Amino acid sequence: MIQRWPTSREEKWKYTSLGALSQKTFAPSAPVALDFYPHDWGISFVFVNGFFNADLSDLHLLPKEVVALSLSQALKTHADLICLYGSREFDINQYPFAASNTASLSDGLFLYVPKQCVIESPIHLTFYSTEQNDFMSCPRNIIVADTESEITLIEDYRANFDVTGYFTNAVTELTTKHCAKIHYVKIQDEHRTATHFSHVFVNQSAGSHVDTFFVDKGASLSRSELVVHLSEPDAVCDMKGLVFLEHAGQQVDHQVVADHAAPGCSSRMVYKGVLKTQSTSVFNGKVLVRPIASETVSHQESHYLMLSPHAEVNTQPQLEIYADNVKCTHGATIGSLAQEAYFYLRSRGMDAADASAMLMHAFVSDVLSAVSDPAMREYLLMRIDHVEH
Amino acid sequence: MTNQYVKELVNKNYEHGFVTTIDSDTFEPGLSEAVVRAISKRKNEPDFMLQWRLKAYQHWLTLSPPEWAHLTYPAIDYQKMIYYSAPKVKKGPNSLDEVDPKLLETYKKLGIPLHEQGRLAGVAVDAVFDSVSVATTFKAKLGEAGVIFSSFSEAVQTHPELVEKYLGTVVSFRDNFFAALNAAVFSDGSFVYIPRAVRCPMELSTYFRINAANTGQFERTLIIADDQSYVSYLEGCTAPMRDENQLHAAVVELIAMDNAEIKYSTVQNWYPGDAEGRGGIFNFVTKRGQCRGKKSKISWTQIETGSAITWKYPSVILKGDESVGEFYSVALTNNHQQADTGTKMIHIGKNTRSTILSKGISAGFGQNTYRGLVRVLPQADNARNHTQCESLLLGPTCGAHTVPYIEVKNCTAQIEHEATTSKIGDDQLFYCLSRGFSKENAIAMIVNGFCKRIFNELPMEFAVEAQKLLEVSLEGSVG
Amino acid sequence: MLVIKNLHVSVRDKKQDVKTILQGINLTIKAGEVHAIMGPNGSGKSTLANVLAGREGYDITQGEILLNGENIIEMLPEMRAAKGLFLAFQYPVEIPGVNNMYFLKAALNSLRKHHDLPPLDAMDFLKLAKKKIKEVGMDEQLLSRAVNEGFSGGEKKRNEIFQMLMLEPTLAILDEIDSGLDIDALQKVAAGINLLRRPDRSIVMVTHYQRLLNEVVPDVVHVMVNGKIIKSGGKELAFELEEKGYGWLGVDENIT
Repeated sequence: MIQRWPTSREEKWKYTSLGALSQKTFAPSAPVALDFYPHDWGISFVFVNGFFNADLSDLHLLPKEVVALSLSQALKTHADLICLYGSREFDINQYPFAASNTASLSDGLFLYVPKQCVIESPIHLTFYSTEQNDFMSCPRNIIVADTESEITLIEDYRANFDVTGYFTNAVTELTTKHCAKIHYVKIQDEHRTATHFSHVFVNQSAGSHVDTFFVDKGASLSRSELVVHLSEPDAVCDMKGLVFLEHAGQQVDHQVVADHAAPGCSSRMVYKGVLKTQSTSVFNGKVLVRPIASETVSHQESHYLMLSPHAEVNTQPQLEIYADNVKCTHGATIGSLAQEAYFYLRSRGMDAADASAMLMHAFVSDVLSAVSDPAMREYLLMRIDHVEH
Repeated sequence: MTNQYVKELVNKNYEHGFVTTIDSDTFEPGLSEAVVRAISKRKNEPDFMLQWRLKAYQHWLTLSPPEWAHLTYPAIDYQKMIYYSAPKVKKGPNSLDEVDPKLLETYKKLGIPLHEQGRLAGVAVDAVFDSVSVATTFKAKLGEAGVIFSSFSEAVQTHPELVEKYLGTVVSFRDNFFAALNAAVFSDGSFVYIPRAVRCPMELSTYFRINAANTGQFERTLIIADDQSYVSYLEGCTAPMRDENQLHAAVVELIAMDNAEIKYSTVQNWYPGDAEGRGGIFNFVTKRGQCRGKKSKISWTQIETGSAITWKYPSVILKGDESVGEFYSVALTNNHQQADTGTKMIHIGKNTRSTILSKGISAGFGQNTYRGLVRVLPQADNARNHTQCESLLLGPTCGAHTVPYIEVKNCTAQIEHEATTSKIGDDQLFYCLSRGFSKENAIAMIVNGFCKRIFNELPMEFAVEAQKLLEVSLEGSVG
Repeated sequence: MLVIKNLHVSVRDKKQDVKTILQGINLTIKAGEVHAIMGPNGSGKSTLANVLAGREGYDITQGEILLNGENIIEMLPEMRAAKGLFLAFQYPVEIPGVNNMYFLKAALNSLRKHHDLPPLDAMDFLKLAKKKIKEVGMDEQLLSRAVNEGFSGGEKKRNEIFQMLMLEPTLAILDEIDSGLDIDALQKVAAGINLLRRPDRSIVMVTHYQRLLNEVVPDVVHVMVNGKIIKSGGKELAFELEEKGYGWLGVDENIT
């Protein structure tokens, strides 16, 4: 399924071993008929085992001028647009799993938002896995927000309790043209036996604004690469991530790159994680400031809370800077709950579980409160607290 | 504002760039088992040393040079290099009177007080010229306290049991490419043993000098601080100006037993190459300390202003419970210098603490990377680390990079890391100018302020030297 | 002392658009005079102060600045300092790791060198510094701290006055020296300024409020609006402004 398996000798794969995965074989996914899928809100595109299901989707809030098609359809009818906006800024072959996605693409969404089109309702892409075991799906989403348009996009991975051992290998490409805005949320709540790999490639034009919010709580092994290319001046990118590990043996790996290739851009990364069990979290954040990117402002933060004696956290907040007129900072902390606060709560009558739950909420609250839309914030809280499997 | 200064390049000469013409005993270039045997024979070493060298050499043959660092340099041809060069002396000198006066002249030019009435009274000096130690001062006084401070080759003769017991126990020859090479061919260095409950009565110091052309310098330093002892050790280095690159691949091993403390300070001023990046020393150094005993402490302070390439990560293995590791660093890269430097703090014992404070200054076309690892092993309860990395950029053509690795396998750890990278503040500069400072003085002053906390870690005389060195190294780049 | 003729200054903003800040300033300050420049926020007062001291980033499109007859427009900031010009910053800059005393001694000696005077040795300097620091009512301990680092707003402003007393400029420009000060601190700062008044020394105070002018009584008051001096007069002009506001001069007070 993959041309070249990376090894732990490679810097980017230092903390994630692919030994077990490379031994497994996966069947290609097949479309599955499904009668009903409850969609939460907004404009809903539902994919079952990687294939678009029009019957389950709800597009009535979608403005007419927007081009929204399943990728398999779009490749037939809108190949020109895809060619125009496909991610030429990225050398996909540098990312072995993204290259593999291209080779064995299943389906996905092609979304073109025309100039000045502002879509109020969130566009909710649900990738639902059910019935089949040990299959691999390779969704690919290509999202283009043209000049001064604005959208909110949720990419959501969930599974039925009856599936095991499947492998999602997703790629999403986000392009914002001049002064466009994309608010992007990705929720990874895969089955606890699943493997989830994803790449999100963001290419930003002048004055555009992208914010990304990753929530990871499912899968046995999950790895996300977010690569943001700030290719024109004054673009802004705000990247956030929350990781909650509750199942023994879980591993989540985030690789985040902000590539400043134009002057006056700013980027901000804030990732937080809570490890409740014997689990491993990896964060590798890199800010690259190229010689041309003067007046760059960048801030990077990662904070992890270890609540299990067998948890493991590996973080690497990197700065690579080739321009002089910049202000770049990063900070990282790793520790357990503040004992004084914990004791204070318990001395006021809270039991251990309630006290630590309260402190955990406090720990992630600043990241959540940065989500400006209250409905979205509430939805995220609901999904974070909800235990699906 | 700084850009304008950068343009006003002034060519400042490296002031230690002279060559001393001296009769030397020098091997043909090239490395083979025969060369390793010959070095050992020349040093009249016991068999355990030869066997150890041969094992290291065999292991080295299986390795390739590390490529992960943020450094670019031409491949080094290890067969073109000379592995042994010693000033010609009949036997090892017993007193300074027997040392070649030309050598003493060299050290005088470098401002190193070999004579016991020297400038830095109270500092005992071991001087290494090319590959061999030429003189150790204050021996008698140190002997009274029971401190052993001698050249490495002398220690092999006089205290083989200590050498055999501790050599390679902190930096194994299997550790990395350069450590293996060093173990096979190292020709001298310094040896220090501080006995139980002795506070070393003076600063110990070694000056390293590369003189001969095409020569690699491979020295090895081993410092053992027994229970409840204390030692402060200083290391300085210079080399002549040459168009070709020369390799320096040293190993330093520190061992601190129960309640012992070792403070190791380096002012590294190897020839950095000229303004176009020709010549200069390739400095690939493995330095590591082991806090073996409980409540032991190892502290590294380094001022890195020289070398064309610096690859160096002075580290501490915090094995003893409640042991403490510290790393304070100023690294400056100007012209075409590249530095990839930092530290590793490996927390193994319980209640161990480490502090990392790193200041990088990049100017000209310099590339400066901080690379650091903080690792907390599962058994290391209550480990604490605080890391602070700050980088200052002087000019648009240089680079500053920060690559920390934080690996925590114990949930009682508390790890904090912070880093900033920025250019020198226009506001600060204008404020100083409007108070009448010249541009050059203003920048030197701001940079010195930036490095102040590191200088404070150095013994007084060296802090002054380090400050001057920094100013000289900056001249030309910031105008 | 200082003659400004038809000074036009513009800046470029982030989008590289040119914005004109000063549009033809004319000002003559004689030796020994104290002038106050007042005006609403954004009128160009601070720009004028910074341009006089030689800060980069301003385009001087027209006009002349003559200090004792010499045009200083092309002169570097440190040369202007050597010629006796001193700017007390609105926001004094923090310089971590650089000792306040060391800074001041080096600054003073670089000025002395310019005037072919021998450098002050550490003892003489310390004696002088201790004497002057009392005059501004500053804690002596601030001498041994890093320049402005961790100073309160009032301490920073007093440190500027202290520096001015030490460096003894012939033309002092005080940019909002009164902002952020309580009444005690204001009186101490004002006392410091009054100490400096001498027949051969001129002072320009840029301020938003009249209260400083009660303590340091100016010879001439200028009102600056939209990059122009629209009215000049004696000290009574300041009282009139205080009473009637800028509206009285036909100016919208909320210009920014």
